[in-house]
Amino acid sequence: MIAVAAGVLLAVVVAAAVLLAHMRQVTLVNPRGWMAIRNIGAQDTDPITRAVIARFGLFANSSAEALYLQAQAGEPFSLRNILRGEPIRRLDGGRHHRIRIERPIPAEWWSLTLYAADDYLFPNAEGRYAWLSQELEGEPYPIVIDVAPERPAGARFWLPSPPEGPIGLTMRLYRPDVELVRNLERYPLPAVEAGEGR
Amino acid sequence: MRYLLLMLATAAVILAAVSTAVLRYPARQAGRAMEGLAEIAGGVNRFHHERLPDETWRTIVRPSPDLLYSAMVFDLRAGPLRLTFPHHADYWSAQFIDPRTSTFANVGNSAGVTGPTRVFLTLKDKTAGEGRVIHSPEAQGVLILRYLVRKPDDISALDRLRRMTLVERAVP
Repeated sequence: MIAVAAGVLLAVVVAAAVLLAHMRQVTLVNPRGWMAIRNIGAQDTDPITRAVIARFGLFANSSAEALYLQAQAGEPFSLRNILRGEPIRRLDGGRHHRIRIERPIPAEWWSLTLYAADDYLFPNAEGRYAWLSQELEGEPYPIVIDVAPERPAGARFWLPSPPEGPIGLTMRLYRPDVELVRNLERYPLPAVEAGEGR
Repeated sequence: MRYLLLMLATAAVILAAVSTAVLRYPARQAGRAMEGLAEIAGGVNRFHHERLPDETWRTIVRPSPDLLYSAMVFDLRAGPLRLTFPHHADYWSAQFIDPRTSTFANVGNSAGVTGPTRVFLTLKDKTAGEGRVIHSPEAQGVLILRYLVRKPDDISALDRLRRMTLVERAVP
């Protein structure tokens, strides 16, 4: 009986280690606060990535058509994050974050969308779930999108967030430039800056 | 020694089961989604048109609130399909997905295109037809349409436009 229990434990540890090592390998991290999964939805996508995407984003598009960037804090799938119980550390909705866009993003268009902890759109009085590149056309750079529960003083482009709990902040780049996709880890993406708050 | 062997055997059996489950999971999820989609669309080769996602929308997690989605299960067992997408200069895309969740083709708006986009969707081993030929690796799969909504006033016109997409049986 003890041997069987030890076998179960061993299997859990091995499976978790393989999954985490794999996710670290296929996760692209940009130091400006973003991550993306490599090679989504391609014919040669490996089985583990395929299963993870089937669970969290079934029928996600290929990166040549749409690149999905997730805002996150720290190093995804690191031992530190695992010990905190958050393989990917999402942003805190109660905190004021600024998305600073310093230059045009080379894609046909892009959107920045906020999701509540349940991964659905966050209800707010403004009816504002996202900002689109088309809405900001002609604005001088840098463009700052303020993510906060209350409209920060002087904020022109406010994306309301829940007062507490983690949020999902997704930037989608549609038909992105090939160079951006290829050099995602080094590309000067918009910066996710943590401001005041808890 | 017996205990060690039993422990390793238990672990091996569990890991084999987990690996099989992981391998099968995407196709199982896709299969369920396809069944549900065909049901709400009233059959295969028919589109289901979704409303613009808002905070009450629960069809999929993390929807784009700026895209009008339509989806269809295509079925090529009775022969290839001719798809005609109406001309639209702003962003739209048609994503072709196989039952293993791989995207095998994308079409959409393109600079310089002024007329409708015609696609001949056929199985890999079948002969080609007119228009752009897309070979499907399987007899069934999913086609997802996405239309960019720049402002709420555009929704009704875009809704009319996407419903003009033609799905016809083509003779190879």
